[in-house]
Amino acid sequence: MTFVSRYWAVIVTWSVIILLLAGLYVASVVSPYWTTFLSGWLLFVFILALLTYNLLNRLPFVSLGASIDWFSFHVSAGLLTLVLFVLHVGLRAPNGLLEVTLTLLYAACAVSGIVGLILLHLLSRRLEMGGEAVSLERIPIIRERLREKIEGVVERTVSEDHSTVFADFHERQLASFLDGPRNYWSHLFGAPSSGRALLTDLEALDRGLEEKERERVEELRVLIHVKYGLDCQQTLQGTLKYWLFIHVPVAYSLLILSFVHTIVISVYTTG
Amino acid sequence: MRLQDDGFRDGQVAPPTRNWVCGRATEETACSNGPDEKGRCRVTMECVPVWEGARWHCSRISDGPCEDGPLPDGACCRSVPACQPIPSLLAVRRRITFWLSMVMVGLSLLFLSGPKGSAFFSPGELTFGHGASVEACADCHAAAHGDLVDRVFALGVSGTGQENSKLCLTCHHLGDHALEVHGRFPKELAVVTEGLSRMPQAADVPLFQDFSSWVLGLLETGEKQLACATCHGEHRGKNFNLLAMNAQQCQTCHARTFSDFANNHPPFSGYPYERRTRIAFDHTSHIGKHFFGEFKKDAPITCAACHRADAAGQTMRTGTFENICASCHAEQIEGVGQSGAKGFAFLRLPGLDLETLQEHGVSVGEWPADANFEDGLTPFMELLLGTDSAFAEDLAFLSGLDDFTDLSDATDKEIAAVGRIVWAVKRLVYNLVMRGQQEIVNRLQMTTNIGARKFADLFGQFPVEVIYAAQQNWLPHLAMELSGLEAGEAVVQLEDRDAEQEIRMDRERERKMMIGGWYRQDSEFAILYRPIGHADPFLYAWLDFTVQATGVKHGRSAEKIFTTLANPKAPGLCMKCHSVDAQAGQRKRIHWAAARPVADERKATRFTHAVHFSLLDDKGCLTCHTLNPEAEVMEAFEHTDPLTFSSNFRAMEKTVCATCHTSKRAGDTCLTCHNYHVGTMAPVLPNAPLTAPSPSTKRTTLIR
Repeated sequence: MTFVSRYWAVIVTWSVIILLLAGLYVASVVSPYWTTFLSGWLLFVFILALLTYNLLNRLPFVSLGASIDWFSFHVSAGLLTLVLFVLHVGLRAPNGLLEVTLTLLYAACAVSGIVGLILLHLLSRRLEMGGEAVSLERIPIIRERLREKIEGVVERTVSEDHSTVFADFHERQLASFLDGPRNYWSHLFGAPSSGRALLTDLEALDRGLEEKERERVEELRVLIHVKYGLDCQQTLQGTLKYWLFIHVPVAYSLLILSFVHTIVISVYTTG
Repeated sequence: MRLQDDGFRDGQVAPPTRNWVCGRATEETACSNGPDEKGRCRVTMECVPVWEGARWHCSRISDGPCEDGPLPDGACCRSVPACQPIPSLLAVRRRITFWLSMVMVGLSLLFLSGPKGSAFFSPGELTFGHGASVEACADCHAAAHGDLVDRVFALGVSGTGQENSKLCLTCHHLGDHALEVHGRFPKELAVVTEGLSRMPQAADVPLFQDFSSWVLGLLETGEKQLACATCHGEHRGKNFNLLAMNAQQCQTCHARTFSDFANNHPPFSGYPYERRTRIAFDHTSHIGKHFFGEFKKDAPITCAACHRADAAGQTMRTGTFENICASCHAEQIEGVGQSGAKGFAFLRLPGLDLETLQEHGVSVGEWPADANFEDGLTPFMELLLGTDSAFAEDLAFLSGLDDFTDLSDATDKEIAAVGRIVWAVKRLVYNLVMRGQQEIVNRLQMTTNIGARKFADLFGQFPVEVIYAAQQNWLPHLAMELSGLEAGEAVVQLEDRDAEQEIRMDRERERKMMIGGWYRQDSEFAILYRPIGHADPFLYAWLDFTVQATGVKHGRSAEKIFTTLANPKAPGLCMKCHSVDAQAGQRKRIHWAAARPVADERKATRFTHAVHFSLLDDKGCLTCHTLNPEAEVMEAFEHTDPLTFSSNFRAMEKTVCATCHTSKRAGDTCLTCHNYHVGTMAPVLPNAPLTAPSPSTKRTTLIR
């Protein structure tokens, strides 16, 4: 999108938002019913529009602008639905099974969306700063290769250096570290983890070792550091994908129940 | 250290948009093709040999061409065990989405079509009153009939707001124009709106408020009916206030808007004096002039001596005649000290120019020569005789000849008509004596639609014995004469009698009737009625009956009766205080009582007196009601238009109310002082059918 078209897009978007808010204000002045009616319909339309982002992702051959622009629209419209929802429902507790379900679904969708947005903002930056990027699907293979390399180093210390220090260290700490992704929560929140502790323990071994063994320590330190980074990437990339397991299914369910709600309201409420 | 040398395009790992990934994706042996769309492994051999240079060549990529090479038939020699493909993250997410969506669809269909549907889609609890009285959705929702399919198909074609509102009105009676704006007839509202539109627009109306009015003006469709749900939103909990409205909501529709009551609410226009009082009463003269001398002891000291708040504390009621007026006015009404006759002449023999009648050969038979009353027949007699069409024609013919005592200028036809009228009067007297009240009933029932009760009020006390005595004295040969006339015999005139003696007797009779009632006066050949005091039932009945000539064939006679009785100086003095309203398009009516709340009436402005009493200082009622000594109050009662008047009190100033009624003190919302629904609204009455218990039920009960 060029600068000019982006400029117009911003103007149009804000104009629409201002018009909507003005319309809602007028409705609220006239009657609570009008507010509910108008905000309800707008909310339904917005939920439909928000789902177009997901549909467009499924249809990559349809060129309707850059994905980043659609994403921006998705986020803006999603935040606007919060206002519409509050106007529509007011500050009262939901009532009736349909209302309760709708409210819970909307809350789950909105919260997961906001959490996803925050995660995207924070974790993307950490991923960018985390060195070489690997694809999530390749991480198990790369981890397996790393495991083989580390075990190769340990074997060589036994066969060539005749030292069991690293074998003991492997059996005691390394083996479980290499078995799979570790320290999910500490990676997610960027806290110091047992991986760091492992490196500290490895450096502690360094004090009573021969020169050659110290070279092995350096080799292992690099590999463990890589594994640590790989676990971090898996945590961050995985989290960025897994939150959608809540957001997307809940969004479609919300749309379906919103449609049912719209029919029911249209049939019963005419004022 | 480089971790990933290959990407999706290198074929080692399936791209994330695929639904299935290789079962060995986490191993180095993952195949480059990946599973098909249905999740089946597509790899059976390590390569697909290529025909090149007249022989087959191995095309394996992963570890390079194998040593054995393809088989002679071109098949790969190294088979690969099939993997168990696993769904991609995207596919898992889609499955979750699909099944969760299906659950929602299923639950919706289940509940919407099931008997517990209303509990599922009810948007909230009803207010306590509605919750207790409503049994089903269809009680309030016009479209809630039939099953789900019917309801969905009803979308857009039924269940308008007005239809739903009609269901509201089955319980809430809000007048004949309930759904019109303010419940008022549109034309009536248009007049009010036009008046308000001429007022200047307040300068400091909030921008948003102006904007709302402007937008709604654009949306105006000419539809003047408002659905109940426009202002009253249900399903918001048991304790929700359905009547809550804010000022902005009201002002959105109004022709002139303002920001608050104190600053730019339109000034009061004559409030609260919308019309003259129903009882003609001049506060200024009573307070300043009338209570002197012997009446000083009866003077009220405060307003409360005459006015008290009603039980609800809303309106100030005026005390009864007996409590507040009788001490000075009771005797006046009874006729004490009144010059002239103290009663009304109901029946009277008119004076006749007997000589002229004789000259023209018109015989009237026996008639008192000293009957000299010049005003002809009493209006009561005209009413009774007017039921005879021949009489009515004669009377109409003689409309310019009211005085029968001088017929010298009358034509032969007029004199003949006078003769016929005299015989009609004689027949009336005779029939009243012979048939009594039955004669009145017979005459009036021919031409009026008054009921039995009204007859009783009008003629229930009719004195047949007094009539008989009068006839014996005035026309003693009436029966013989009438039969003789029918036989064609000549009739005679009654000789002069002792007039002085008769006058003395008449005075005696009137004195004896000091409490009131019927009596005769021989000197005037009249039967009179003397009012018994305040609220005299005879005068009350006749004034109420004759105030409207409708329903009476001979309305002119009724009007004459009313005019006679309504004379402020007539016996009873009824119309001295009780005003008569005659407004265009409305029935003429007499106000027999001071203003009092009309049952079930809701006015546009409401005020509760009692809650303001504690706020008053020494000025008391005069804080709001200031006397206007210049007002010509009584002039307003010289006509029948109640809206043309001059009030005893100056109109209230808005500032009196605005001292307390601000948003921060006593509140200044529209509904503090105004009602939206105005008009007469009768409460809903139960409509229980009257059914007797069936005999079988009785029997069963007895057996048990």
